[in-house]
Amino acid sequence: MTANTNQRALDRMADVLVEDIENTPADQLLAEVAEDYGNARALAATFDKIALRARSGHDRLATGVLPSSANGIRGGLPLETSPYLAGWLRAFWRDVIPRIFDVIFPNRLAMITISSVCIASLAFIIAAPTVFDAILERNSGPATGPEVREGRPTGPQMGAPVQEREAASERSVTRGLQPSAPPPSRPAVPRVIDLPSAVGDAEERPGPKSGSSIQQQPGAGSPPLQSTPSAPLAAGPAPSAANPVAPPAAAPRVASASNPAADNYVVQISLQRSKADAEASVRNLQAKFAKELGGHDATVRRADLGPSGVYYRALVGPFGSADDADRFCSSLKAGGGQCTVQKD
Amino acid sequence: MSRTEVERTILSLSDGEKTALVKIARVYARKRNTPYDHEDLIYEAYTRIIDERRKWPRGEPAIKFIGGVIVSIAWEWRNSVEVNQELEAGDKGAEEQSTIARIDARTIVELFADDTVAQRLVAAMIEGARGVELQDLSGLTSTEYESKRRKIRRRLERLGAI
Repeated sequence: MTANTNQRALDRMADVLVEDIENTPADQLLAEVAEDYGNARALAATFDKIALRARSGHDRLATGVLPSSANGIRGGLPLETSPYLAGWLRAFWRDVIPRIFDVIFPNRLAMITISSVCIASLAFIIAAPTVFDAILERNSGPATGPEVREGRPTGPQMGAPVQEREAASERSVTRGLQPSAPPPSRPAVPRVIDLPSAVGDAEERPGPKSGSSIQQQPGAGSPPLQSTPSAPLAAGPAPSAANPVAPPAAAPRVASASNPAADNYVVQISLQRSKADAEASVRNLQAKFAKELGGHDATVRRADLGPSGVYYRALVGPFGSADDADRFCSSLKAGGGQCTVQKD
Repeated sequence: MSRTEVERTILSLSDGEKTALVKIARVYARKRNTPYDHEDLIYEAYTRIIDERRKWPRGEPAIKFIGGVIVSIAWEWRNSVEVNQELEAGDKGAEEQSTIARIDARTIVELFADDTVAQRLVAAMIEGARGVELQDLSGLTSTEYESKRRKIRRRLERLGAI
């Protein structure tokens, strides 16, 4: 028998074996593999591995179908207990997922491009508020004088549901105003009464202003306009020579709704998205700037700024003239506060 | 079939079909006694099918088609290897090659020395007998014959003889 003869003989033998393999039921083949390797999927996993390598070698997108098989999703599902679910998942995984990937990610370049665009968009969305705040702050510039009316709050507050925030804030303020839990060092919680003001609201429109009202632009998470730390509200100002607490008789007075606006100018010391926040801001500022605010009335006034939403202004006044209001505002700024002068 | 259909069909092969294809590739890789193995055969077959160098006729069963591609590649590679071996063998005598061939052929048959029916069947297979002819030679019933063939294949697979 020559080498060629022998080879032909082996070829015939191989053909018979292949015929056998082709005619053997799948479950029997798997049983044979389990018998030989201890794992029925041993050879199927080999095929998956080779196929995946071949796909990668052709710069094809690996859709995950092969690895999923190699990971045993098909073999690991409790097919006996949930044949319908397993069958559905199998069909979904095999038919739908590759089709989606074929449509969306026809090749790796497209996949990378789409992914990059998504990441860039996400980064822009995250960074946009901060960038816009910085631009607004640059455009608004430093405080220029009493002609400045009001800044336009920006930042996360703009997207918040105002009514919801107001309700929550009012609840918290109501709790804070309970007689049983006053701030320990404060003799009395100032009574803040909302003073409706249609005139002032109608005059003011949102938009970039050239004044100093945006001295402290509220960024993401930063307090709006006139921020006041919570510490003074909780503990109150420490009684010291530098910052003496006014006696109850000299406590900052808060205007009542019946007090008519006899003069034309008021000073805005805070602008908040909710009434409760504005009231809390008044209390904090009165504690912090007891000296400056001691002799003046403070009011909270609702301001509908149209597309920008509803805000609440904390106002001090009224003042008889713009000069008086300006002088008061200057003294407040000298003490570290912020304010704008407005015509009442 | 279109390329997408081909890819989808390959991706949806069952474990049984994949197992059968690996077994087929092993049979052909072993018996050729060549430098490549069954993984090389599957890789090449997969690549050619995906590249559409081998057109998949619509309706052709996966095992038949992919198995056929594997066999075809095995033949192609064996021929090229044989050519190289002939060139490299140079002065090797025909007698030496014949001895090696005899040992190979004899080994396959001798593996079934303990089972005369199986040995007779293997010898017939090597001679090219098929189907009914083989069963007639074995003198077995249909069930016994199938069982015997399976035993033959299993033994050869385990021993890596082919």
